[in-house]
Amino acid sequence: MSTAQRIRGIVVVAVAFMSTLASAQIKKEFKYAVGPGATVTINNEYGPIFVKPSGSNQVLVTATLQSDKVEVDETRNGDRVQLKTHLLPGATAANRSVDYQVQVPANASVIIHSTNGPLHTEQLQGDVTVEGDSAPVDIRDISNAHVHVNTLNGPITLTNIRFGHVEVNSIGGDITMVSVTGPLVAVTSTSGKISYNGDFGIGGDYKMSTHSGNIEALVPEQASVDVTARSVRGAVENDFPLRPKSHTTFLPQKGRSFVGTAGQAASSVLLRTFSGKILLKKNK
Amino acid sequence: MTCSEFQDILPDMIDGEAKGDHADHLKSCSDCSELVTDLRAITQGAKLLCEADEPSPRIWANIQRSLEAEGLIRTPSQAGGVLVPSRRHWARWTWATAIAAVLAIAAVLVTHNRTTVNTAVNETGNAATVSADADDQELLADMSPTTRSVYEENLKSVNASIQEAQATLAQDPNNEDVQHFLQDAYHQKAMVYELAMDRSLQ
Repeated sequence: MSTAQRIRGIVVVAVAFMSTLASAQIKKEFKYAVGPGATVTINNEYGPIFVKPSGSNQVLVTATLQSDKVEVDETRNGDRVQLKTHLLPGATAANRSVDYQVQVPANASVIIHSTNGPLHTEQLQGDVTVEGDSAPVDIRDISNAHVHVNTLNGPITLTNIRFGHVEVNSIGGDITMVSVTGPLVAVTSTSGKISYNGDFGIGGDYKMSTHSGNIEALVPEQASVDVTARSVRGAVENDFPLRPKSHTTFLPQKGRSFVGTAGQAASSVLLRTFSGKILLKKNK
Repeated sequence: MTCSEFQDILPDMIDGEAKGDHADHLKSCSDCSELVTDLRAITQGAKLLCEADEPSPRIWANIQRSLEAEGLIRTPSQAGGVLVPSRRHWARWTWATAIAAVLAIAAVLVTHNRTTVNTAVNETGNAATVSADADDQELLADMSPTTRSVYEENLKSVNASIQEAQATLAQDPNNEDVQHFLQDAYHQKAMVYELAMDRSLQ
């Protein structure tokens, strides 16, 4: 058999295989008209959930089921909508995934859960709660809302979260924040790296803590902050112009901790690690 | 009879009727009377929960050991113990909540009661962690191999952070930074348990 014939054979088999997969998929759509401040909960055992605004008072959900070994259970109580993936006998790793594409009123509260994700929400103004094991989490363009994230070791990316009450807990996933401002931003990790790129807003309370991971904050020179950075066994490094403080609650130890203010010291920033490294850098 | 004497026999009489001196004390003491009423209500409520999800005696023993180590309860004078009455039917989520509560209690004590924690750490070594490891095994037991390996890895990481903070605190009991890290580590562990419980409820 020539090379060309062999390739042609492989292509035919691949196309047939993809066609089989496509035909096995089942698409389901759900629509609900809800009032202001509705709550939408999606529990997806395996597979992605993407949430974005619908631009109306409708909740629109398109669920693509990988096979007939899985189904979607729906519950509607007033303005509370809940969809849940239900594994049926015969469900395996190869056929149990469901892909949820969800549109909600922008002011709806959203609660999403998936073991492996990915989990994505964008352009919402209601509270967002995200839970997953190893699911990558991507939350962007949220304002004036609570953002809660609990995961084991999936990477977490928060982008353009304004005036948020942000609470993130992760065991081993890296946490990346770009343009995230409070009133409250509290991030805790056991071994993950925490990266912050932004100006810490005006008047917020920022706490970032990781046991063995590193913390890196990239801050513009005009930021208005009161910074405390402490590492119990690791190191700290500062490349940001801070004014020394006349009074501190502890004695800074060179290489292990530093304190200082910039601008009007409007936001409080606490960076802590047990054995990792803390780096505060000026964004040039 | 004093309240203290009455409370000593409380676990034994909670399912039955008070007699003799105990009945007299119950009539004359509003505090003990309210306590008995509350405990009976809790016991009745617990009986309504699902028997099939009853946790193993080892879980109760571990929780009891943790509470004793923290000085929150005394060692019971009779077999069975304060936390293991003869008929107890709690749902699965209840024991997870109890474990999370123990972790939270331990964390609060780290901040508010240095003496208690230091004594517990010094006298029992890593008793709390060892006991928690037994709980971990219980938690992991029903998981699929893939899920188990993910949770195992993360629990290992959290347990290591707890042990590291405990060891440092044993040498430097007044280090507030390390106290915060121990508290954080317990919260992280509670979160892992909560995620596992959410998963099992699904």
